[in-house]
Order: sequence, then C-alpha cells, then structure tokens
Amino acid sequence: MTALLSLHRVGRSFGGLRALNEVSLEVSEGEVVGIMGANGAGKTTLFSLIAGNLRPNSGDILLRGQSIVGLSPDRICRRGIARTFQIVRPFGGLTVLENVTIPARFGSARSDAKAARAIAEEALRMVGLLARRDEIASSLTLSGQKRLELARAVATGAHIVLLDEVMAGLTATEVAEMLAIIRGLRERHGLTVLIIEHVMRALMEISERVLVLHHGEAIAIGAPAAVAADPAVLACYFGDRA
Amino acid sequence: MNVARAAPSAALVAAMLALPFVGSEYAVAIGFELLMWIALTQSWTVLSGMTGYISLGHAVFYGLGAYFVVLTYGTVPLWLSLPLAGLLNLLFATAVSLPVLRVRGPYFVILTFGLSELVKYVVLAVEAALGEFGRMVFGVPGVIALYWIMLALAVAATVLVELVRRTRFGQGLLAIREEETAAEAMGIPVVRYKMLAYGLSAIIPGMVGGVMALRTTYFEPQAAFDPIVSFTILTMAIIGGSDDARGPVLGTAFLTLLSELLWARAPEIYLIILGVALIAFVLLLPQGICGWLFPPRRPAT
Amino acid sequence: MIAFLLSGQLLVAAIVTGTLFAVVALGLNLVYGTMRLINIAHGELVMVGAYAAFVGFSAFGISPLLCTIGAGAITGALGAALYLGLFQKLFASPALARRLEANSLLIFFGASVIIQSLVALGFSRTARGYRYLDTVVHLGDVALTANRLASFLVSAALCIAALLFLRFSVYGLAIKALIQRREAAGIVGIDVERIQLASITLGFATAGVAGALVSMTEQITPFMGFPYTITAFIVIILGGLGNLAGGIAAGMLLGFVEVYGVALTSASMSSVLTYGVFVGVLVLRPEGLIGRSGAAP
Repeated sequence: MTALLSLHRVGRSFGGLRALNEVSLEVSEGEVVGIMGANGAGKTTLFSLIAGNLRPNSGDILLRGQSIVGLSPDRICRRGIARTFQIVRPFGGLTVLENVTIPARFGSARSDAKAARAIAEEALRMVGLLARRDEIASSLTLSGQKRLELARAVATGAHIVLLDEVMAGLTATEVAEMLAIIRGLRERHGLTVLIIEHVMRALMEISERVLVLHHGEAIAIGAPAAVAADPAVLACYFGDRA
Repeated sequence: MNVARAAPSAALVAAMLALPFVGSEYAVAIGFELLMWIALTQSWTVLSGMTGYISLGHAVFYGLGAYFVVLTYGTVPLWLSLPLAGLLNLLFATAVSLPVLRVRGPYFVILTFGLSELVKYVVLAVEAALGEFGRMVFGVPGVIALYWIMLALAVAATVLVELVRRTRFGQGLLAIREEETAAEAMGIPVVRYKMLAYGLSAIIPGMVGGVMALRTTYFEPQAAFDPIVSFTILTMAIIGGSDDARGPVLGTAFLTLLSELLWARAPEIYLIILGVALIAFVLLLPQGICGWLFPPRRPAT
Repeated sequence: MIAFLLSGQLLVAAIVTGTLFAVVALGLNLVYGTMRLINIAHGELVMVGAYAAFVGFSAFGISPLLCTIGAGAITGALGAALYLGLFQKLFASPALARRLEANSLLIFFGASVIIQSLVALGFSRTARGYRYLDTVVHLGDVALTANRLASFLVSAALCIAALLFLRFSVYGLAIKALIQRREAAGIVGIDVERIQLASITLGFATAGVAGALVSMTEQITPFMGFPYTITAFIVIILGGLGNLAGGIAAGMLLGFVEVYGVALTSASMSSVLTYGVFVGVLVLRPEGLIGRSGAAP
C-alpha cells in the first residue's frame, strides 16, 4: 500500500543552522502520527515544509506519490493538506462563523457560499463552538481559539491535518475535550492526522505511531510504548542516567 | 440590497446628475472635484481598504494616465484613449505587483511612495530629454462633457468596490487583511488575489488622470505625479472610513468642503487641520466618520 | 572624464555628503530601533534645525556652528515633549500601542504636515538663506567652501561620538539591547522608559543639528525637509533597520552613490538614482545590505 504522505530524507537549514536533517517518514491513510521533541528539534519546521510555507533544501515530499515540493501553501491546501498554527492565527476581526466559511469556500472542498456555511456550521458543532458563531473571533478564550483553528483546518475539506500544539496552554479538562474532538473529527471525516504535542500524555494516547525528533534528526519512530522505552529517546530526555 | 441603504446613494447620484443643469459654474466645478476624489478613493479602497496593503503612491496611476492621454490626444480619439489609459495602468500595476506586493506593512507603504516618485522622475528625465517642459493640449471637451465622464468614473469605482466586497474574491481579500499567512493556509491564492486587487485599483485612477489632464489642458510631471494626490486619497479614506462604500464619499465631502473654505485664504490652516484630523482619526476613530456614524454590525479591523 | 572621476574633488564631495547623510539617518534609526516608530517627519526636524540656525545667525549673530547646540536642543525638546506628552500614554494602553505602531507612519505624516504649515505660517514660504564661512579652502588639489568643511567636521565628530557611545557606554549598550529585543530589555533591568525618552530626544536632536549644518550651505524653506526624510529612510533600510553602526556605513555608501552617480550621469538623474536605489533595496533586500540587525519588522 503506497503511503498517503511520504517524506524522503528531507532537510532544511537556516543559514548555518541545520533545522532538519535527512528526515524520512511514511504516513498511511487514516493514521495518527505523533511528533515529539524538545523545543528547537524541528517539529514546526517539518510542518512548515509539508504545508508549503518553507521549501526543503534537500529531499522530497510526496502526496499520493506526487511531489508537492515548491507548491505554494494555498495550492497544497487545495490538494487536501491543512494545518493549524502553534500561535493561533484567527481572522480576528471576523466572526467565528466567517472564520470557518472562508476555508470552506477556498479549501479543497471549494464550496459555494451556501454549502460553505453548512460545512462551517457542522465543523463548529463538532468542536463545540456553534453557539458562538456570531461572536468576534478575537473575543474567544484560548481554548476556543484553538478549537477554531481545528474547525478551520477541517472545513477546508482536507484529508490530512497537521495539528501544531493544539493543546498548548489548555487545562487538563480542556485537553481531554480536545482529544475527544480530534477523535470525533477523525472518525467523521476519515482524517489522517499528524500531531505535534508537548503534552505527553495526550500525544501518547492518541498516536498510533510516534516520531521523535532531536536537533533536527529523527531518532526514533514506532508505537508509543516502544518509543517511550527507546534508550536513545530516554537519553535525550533524561540524559545518560536512565 | 435593501432599499433603505440604496436610497441615499441613489439620491446622491441623481443630485450629481442634475448639477450641470441647475448649478452654477462654480457648483459644477466643486461637483467635478468631488467626483474625482470619490473615483480615486473608491478605487484605492479595492486594494488598500480590502487587503490592508496601504498604498501611498496611487498618484503614479493618475500621472501615467494623464501622460498617456496627453501624448495621444489628437491622434487617438478620447473614447479610445481613456480606456486605454486605464488598461495601460492595469498592465503597469500587474507588472510591478509581483515584487512590490512581497513587501508588507509599513514597507509597502513607503515602497509605493518611492515607486510613484521614481516614475515621476523618470518621466521628468524623459520629458527633459525630449525637450519638453510641460505639454499643452488644445481642443479639449468642455467642462460639462468632462463632468459626465467623471461622474461615470465615480459611479464605476463605487460599483467596483461594492461588487468586489460581495464576491468570494472580496472575502479572500478581507481574510488576507486579517491574517495573510492563515489565509494562504486555507487555500486563498494570496499572490494572485493581491495582484488582481492592485491591478483593479489602478484602472480608474488612470482614467481619472486622463480626464484631469484635459480639464487643466496642461501636463507637467511634477503636478501630475504630485504626492499630494496620494496623500489626499489616503487622508480621505482614513477620515471617511473605507469599510463601506459610503466612507470615501463622506471623507471626500468633508475634505472638499474644508478645502473650499480654507484653501484659498489660509492653506496653512487647512493643512494643519488636515494633519490634526489625520492623527485624531488614526488614533481614535480608525473606522472613520463612516464607522462612527454607521457603526458596523461588527468591528472591521 | 576618468581623471575627473578619480579626482580628489569628487572623493571629498562624496565623503562630505555621506557623512551628512549618516548623521541625518542616525536619529531616524535610533527612534525606529528603540520604539518601532516610523518617523516620516524626520526631515521636518532637519528643517526646524535649519530655521533655528537661520534665526540664531540672522537675528542674533550667533555662529551657525554654535547654533547647532540650540537647534539640537529645540528639536530634542520637541522629541521629549512628544514622548512625555503623547507617546508614553499611548504605549501604556495596549490597544492604542498596537494602533500606534501600526499607524506611526500615518501619525507622523500628519505631524509633518502640521510642522511644515506652522513654519510656513511663521516664516512664509519664501526661501531664506544666509552667508557664512563661504570662503574657499584648499586642501591640496581639492577646493571646498569652509562651511562645508566645518559641516563635515561636526558631522564626522557626531558619527564618531555616536559609535563610541554605542560601543563603550553602558547607555549605548542599553540602547542596543532595547533595539534587539524589546521585551527582554525590560526583564534584564533596563529602564525602558528612560532609554526610550533618551532615544527620542537624542534622535530628534541629531536631526536638528544636521539641519543647522545644512542651513549654512542650502536654501531654507518650510518644504526642504522632505528629501532628507527619503534619504534617511534609504540609509536606514540599506544599513539594516535599527543597526546604528550599519546606518552610518550606509550613509557613507549612499553619499558615494549619489555623488559619483550624478557625476557619471547628470544632475537630473540624481532623483531617479535616489528613488531607484530606494525601491530596489526595499524590494530586493528589506533587511538591508549590511546584514541583519535582529530588529526586522
């Protein structure tokens, strides 16, 4: 079975700093792949490369066997990959509903105004924001804005969503809610999910496989339990005492 | 479009239509000024109001249009040269848009200004090389005829900006204004949309420049590419508000009234009031008079 | 032609022009670097300095070189007043602070119109000028007027003083820190308010001093400031925003570009050259030719 999304030895540098070095990953349809690593390990860079915000210096990124390197972010979105941002970027002056109808109109779904509204309302319902659809996006709490990011990503009609620390700053209850929402969306839309998280418990719970990055290198990939016990991973996190 | 909102606009258009028949020469001249600024400011809004990329160099389109019409006057009939002036500006804007629109924020603002000045000095140098220090045009249409053309341009510009607002394109531009990176991530072709907005915003100012060249019967680069034109557009848009088609009309009316009262007698006082108004509106009333009188159902920015 | 291009005359002209550009840009860079304010009225400060020297010399007979102190004091005081009276309050409110930074260009533009008009009201629009130290001095093969030489010496002294100050004084260090990382500067104990006040005062003052120097050799009108604003912007963008040392180097560079450019082409091409460089730099390298300063927008 060909992978839905594959990264072949992807590398990216910023001046003298090697942010990612020869990272390879094969993601199958419907999988949930967690990505973990210390700050500066290259996680968000990886997402930016996939989503088209950055271009890799080396290696290739293939979507259903076709290279997507060099495509602009909006074209990649229209091919079915959507992302959330680590620091939320809502359309602050617009209403919650408008924030979600826009991706519905422009994403891979490319709906007309009426259908877009329906898609948006459905996405908002699933993240629990439907009641607040006429509020101004900038007035939402952080938890609300994170869920809005999620709704927007899903509303594009994407098959693959890149979730960048959607749980950051949330309370334990909110984290549990978010996990339930992600699961629900995934089932409903048959999503493939790549998720970056620092909230370890959440990452391990939801991922089928976990990729560990350290200083731009992929040091481990496998089932959560295996990765948690991997000596290389433990050495990174706890030093050589483990 | 509900009738209550359309009524004042329709009344205004009717009044402007009637003016040449009932008004004095002076009134027509004022009306002409008003229409010119409305045409310019509404066009400016298509780019700067919608995308948030504030242009401080729209005089470049005005000047290029004037130059083209003056150069071709006599050889090309007006009904052709005016639209061509618009088209020329569309092409120019599109050509420069790629590099220019990559620059954001205040840099874009000063870049547009620099571009306008650059073109001005290039035209000055070209004219000097050609031995021309100002060109006169003869046999121009009368002020009434030019008035009708300007009215058409003002209406066209207003219709344009309203149309843009109502389309998917306009929604995309608004998203770009709010959060460009996110807009791109949601599938909005930001580069294409920005280029289109920039190009569209250039067409009518080009034609307006052409009409004004005929009105003054004189073309001189310093006057045609005068930064004051750019500044005035910006000030009218800020004072009037640019989130609604009524904004530029209000801003234009306010400033034209003010300038009529003060410009001849005390231009310095006029400019001081302008400067104070600009600062006050930017800090306290960013939605302009329009946003203050007709608060939108939601804040725009 | 080659001989002319390689002549000392041209070289000296370039150095003199470049140093003045560097001084004019210094103040703009300081204000932008520390507070992200885009002072498009900078040229008007130069103009005010020029008028101050004009009044000082014509009415009171004080040497323009001494008037630089008065000119600097006036514009510096203007900066301090503006900061204490307006900006401090604006920075205090988050909503207004955001609007200030996003709109500083427009706000200062309004200010420039106001200042120009006030001066025009006070002094009329007629061009003024005066003669001072206009005897020609010979340095080897090179001839230049004494006032230009004096202007150069003062400008150069200012630039060197600024560089030394930034390098060796703890306040200079604080300013650099503030420019590089605003949020962190406060955390490490730098009195941000005081440094900002000092920056705007110094920044505006240097513009005034430059204006006084310029008044010796140029015509003085209420609208003379504008080209200096443009020049200052080109210089600070070329040198990297907030990079004060880079700005000084860029000022020199631009002086050379202008003088040699005009020599190679003609006087009327001078503006085409200036704006061409301006547009080119903004489009191609918004972070400046002279590396990054860490203070990119």
